[in-house]
Amino acid sequence: MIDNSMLRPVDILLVEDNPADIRLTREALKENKMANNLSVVVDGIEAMNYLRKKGKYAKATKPDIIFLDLNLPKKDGREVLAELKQDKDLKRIPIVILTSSQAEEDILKTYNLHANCYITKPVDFDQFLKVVQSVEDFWLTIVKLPPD
Amino acid sequence: MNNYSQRPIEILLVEDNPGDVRLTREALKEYKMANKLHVVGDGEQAIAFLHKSGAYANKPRPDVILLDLNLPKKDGREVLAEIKEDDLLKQIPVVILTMSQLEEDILTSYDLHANCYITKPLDIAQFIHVVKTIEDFWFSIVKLPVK
Amino acid sequence: MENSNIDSDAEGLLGESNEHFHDLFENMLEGVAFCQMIFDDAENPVDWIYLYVNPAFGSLTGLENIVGMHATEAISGIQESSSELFEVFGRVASTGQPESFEIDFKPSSLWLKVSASSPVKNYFVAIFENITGRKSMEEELRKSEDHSMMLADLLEKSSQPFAMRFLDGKMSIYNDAFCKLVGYTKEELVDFDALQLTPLEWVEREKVFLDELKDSGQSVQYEKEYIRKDGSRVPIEVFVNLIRDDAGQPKQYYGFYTDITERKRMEQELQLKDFAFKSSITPETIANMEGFITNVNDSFVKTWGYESADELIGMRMSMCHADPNESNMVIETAEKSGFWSGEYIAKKKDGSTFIAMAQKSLVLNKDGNPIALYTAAMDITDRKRAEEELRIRAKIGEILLIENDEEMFDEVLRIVLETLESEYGVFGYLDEDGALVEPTMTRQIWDKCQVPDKRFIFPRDTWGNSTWARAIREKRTIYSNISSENIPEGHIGITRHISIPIIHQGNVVGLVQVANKITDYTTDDIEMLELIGNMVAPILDARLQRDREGKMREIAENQLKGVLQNLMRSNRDLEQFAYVASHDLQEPLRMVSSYVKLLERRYKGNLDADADDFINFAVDGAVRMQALINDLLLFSRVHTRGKEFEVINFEDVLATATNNLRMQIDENEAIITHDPLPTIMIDRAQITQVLQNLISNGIKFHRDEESPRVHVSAKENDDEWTISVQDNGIGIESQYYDRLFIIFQRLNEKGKYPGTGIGLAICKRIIERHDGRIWLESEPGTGSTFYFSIPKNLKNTTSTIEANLLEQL
Repeated sequence: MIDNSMLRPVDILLVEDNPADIRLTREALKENKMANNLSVVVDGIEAMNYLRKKGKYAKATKPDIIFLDLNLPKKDGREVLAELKQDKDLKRIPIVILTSSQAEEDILKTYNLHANCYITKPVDFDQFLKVVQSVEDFWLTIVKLPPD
Repeated sequence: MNNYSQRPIEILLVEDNPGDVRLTREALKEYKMANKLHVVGDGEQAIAFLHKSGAYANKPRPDVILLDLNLPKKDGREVLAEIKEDDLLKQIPVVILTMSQLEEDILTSYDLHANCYITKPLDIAQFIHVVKTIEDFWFSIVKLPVK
Repeated sequence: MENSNIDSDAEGLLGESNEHFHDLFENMLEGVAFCQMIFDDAENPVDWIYLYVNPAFGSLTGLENIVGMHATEAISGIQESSSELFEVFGRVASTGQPESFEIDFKPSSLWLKVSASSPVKNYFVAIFENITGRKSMEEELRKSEDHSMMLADLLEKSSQPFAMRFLDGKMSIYNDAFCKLVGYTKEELVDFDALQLTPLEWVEREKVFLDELKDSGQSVQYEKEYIRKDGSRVPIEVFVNLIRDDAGQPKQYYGFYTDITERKRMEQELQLKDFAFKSSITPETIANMEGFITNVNDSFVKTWGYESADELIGMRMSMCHADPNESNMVIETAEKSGFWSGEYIAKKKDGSTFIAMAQKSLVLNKDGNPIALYTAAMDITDRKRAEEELRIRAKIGEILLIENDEEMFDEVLRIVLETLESEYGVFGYLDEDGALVEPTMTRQIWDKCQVPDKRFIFPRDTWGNSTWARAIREKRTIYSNISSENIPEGHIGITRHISIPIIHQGNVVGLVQVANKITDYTTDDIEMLELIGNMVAPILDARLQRDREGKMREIAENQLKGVLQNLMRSNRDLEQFAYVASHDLQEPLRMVSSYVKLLERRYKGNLDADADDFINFAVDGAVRMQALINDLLLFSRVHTRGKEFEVINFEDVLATATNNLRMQIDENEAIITHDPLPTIMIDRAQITQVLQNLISNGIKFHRDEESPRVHVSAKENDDEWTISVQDNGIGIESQYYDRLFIIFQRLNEKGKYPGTGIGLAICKRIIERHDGRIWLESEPGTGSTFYFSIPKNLKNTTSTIEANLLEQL
């Protein structure tokens, strides 16, 4: 299925504080054929600023999808999630929680906050690749993202 | 992935088109993990199923809801809204699986906190492929909330 | 009264000295009438005319002024009443032959002798004499002759022996009955000496009576004996009197004799009866119909506390009853129905009472009339007490079965108060600190004791010297019928009381007190209370033991709880540790593993073979580490993530496990079989884990020459199920059995068989959580069978306790 959203690169916002993980994610995304623009912010405040196009992010583009880690400095990922999903301009953006936590409380809480889905970062890199691939496949090809 | 104690995944399909129901069922059958498909044909039944009322008293809580938008009796959008407002039901991932490609439908759905919106392909093979992808993603990759 | 016959020549006489005759007639006592006879045509005399009557005639007949009158005129009804007069006078007047006769002259109610003569034909003269007196005398004489004849006859025929004798003993008159009495015939008694009849020994005595008779002239009555003809003696009663002659000298004795053999016999019987009565050990009395005691035996005297029978004789029967009204009722009943039997309260001489049981019956005489009331009574106080005791025992026995302590104590106290007729009571037991616990007091004490602190527990050191405290300490009954003088403020006034310690096997286990009976407490009361105390003692002791045990058990439970808490805590700590460890370990591990892999991907083929090897080893290490961490986490979560046990069909469990192992099964071409499997109570997820693990091992450790086969079966015992997982793998040497289940112990070199080596340790932990056991049997080269047992009656209580404690932690 070819559709409009495919014609331009997908804008992904990665909210992640661990540089190693950032790099990994970037590499994993590179492996994929899909064209995408990866933006990264390293804490919760930056995330909000980016999305609200504040300060240095005035020119930032609204992402098509957000990969959100939970344990972030300054502003916790859960807070970010909650704020975003209450913001009428921003709530539509699908948020994929991408975190190392397997804690059930985290899973439940984030779904309650209307996270679109929750993914635990696999320890195994191959798995990680698979996961990222899967996410891309699903969200960027099958799913209809909300139009701007 | 540790599946030491996997119980079958409960899927609620809210779909009035019997053909689509059949296809979905076939696609799910092939899935490697145990799953159980429950089907209701309209919005009212969907709500009844989720609230476990009447004939649905003993029905399990679904792990995932595949929800069509255009439904008789109660519209899929209403159903979505009700689900996502209900504290006990809102955690359940709702995959909108519909014919409509309308922007407003997409927007409305995401506004109402649908977890994702998928358009049913017309091609059967594609349809099956879509279902399989949904399966793979939501049942293997994604962590579903535990009841 | 001489008959004066007048000459028939009346005319002559009359004519001659008329005046002389006239005077004679006028003064005669006899009545004279000169009459003319009237005949009818048939020459039947029908009437006469009175020509002359003298005054005497008038007074004798009562007829006045009848001269010149016809008889029929003068005397009305004479023809009917005295018709024979006409005949006689007619005959005399016509024949001239004088006649005399007697006539009961009704008109004047006199008996008259009439002499009639006829001086002249058709005329007669009648002379009347009043013979009424003579007549009645004759009548009397005749009557008395009849009478004495009758009497004589009566005497003769009478069954009452009668005899008369002269003073010298010669018999004069005697009847048949007498003859029979003495055994002689009438003839034999003719010249009989009656003195022979009296035996020698009686003579003196009889003489006394006979002298009395002579002197007083009054008849005498006495008893004696006769010797009969056949020599036998017959007791008789004699009624004797004297007949005197004209000079007043005693002439004959006459007597009436009664054979009193029967009477004597009865008297003897009565005497015997009397003796029996007197000497009977059953108290007996006889009272007359007015209710006064006429007779009483020694036993009665003694039982009723008197000194002698005399005190009782003449007393009202009802005085022996505590309630005289009751006595009267009883007597009434006895009199109505002839018999009464029952219990009553008897009153002794000193006024004390006891419970008696009596039978009263009317004594009737020969005619069936009641003459006395006979009573046989018994003091049944002892029996009553025994009965009472029995009743109390039964009641208390019942009460002691009551489970609820408060109820039981209340009931016992109620019985105590009732039995001892007391107003107040207290009943308590000693707890194992020696304090007196009073779970029950009579309501009045609760309400009346305005002591601000109505304590129900009295610790030993607060007891002081009150009566009950002393009773307990000194282990003896203390009682008093004297009012206590100093009453503490707010307490009730005690007039009489008994305090009894309840003792079991030498130890005081409780206390019972009663107070304020209306009358004095008796020794019986004390005994009764002690009896109750003894009955209750074992129960109190048992409860005391139970309390003690309960306390000990509480302590033990607390200790157990403490231990359990510690255990829980340590499990939790373990899990937390494991979680944290694994989480924190995982991140660096992920980094290592991921980047090495990235290296591999990116530079594969661009590095030399050594580099490839290095990378492989590094990755492998990371992967294994990951698996280890996961298994550690699983291990730590067995208890803390365990779910409640549910009834699960084991076949479902097997199906799930098999399903999860699908890839491994397919890759190894393994065949999994099973026997029918039961439905048992388990943690589904965990047992699935176990089964999966065991089957996986069964497949993993297969022999090269054969494809792996795993068979699952179940065996039922009395209280557990044993599941077995049998494989045809490489087997395990018995020396290693124990090590298998220890964490991390591996029996094979690293790399040959994948796996962390924790699997079985996790299985063991899971099975232990189910209170089961896990073990194996194995034959190296043939295969192994792993067994695990699950008890049948798995309860979820442990997990509930765990859950509760978990919350507390």
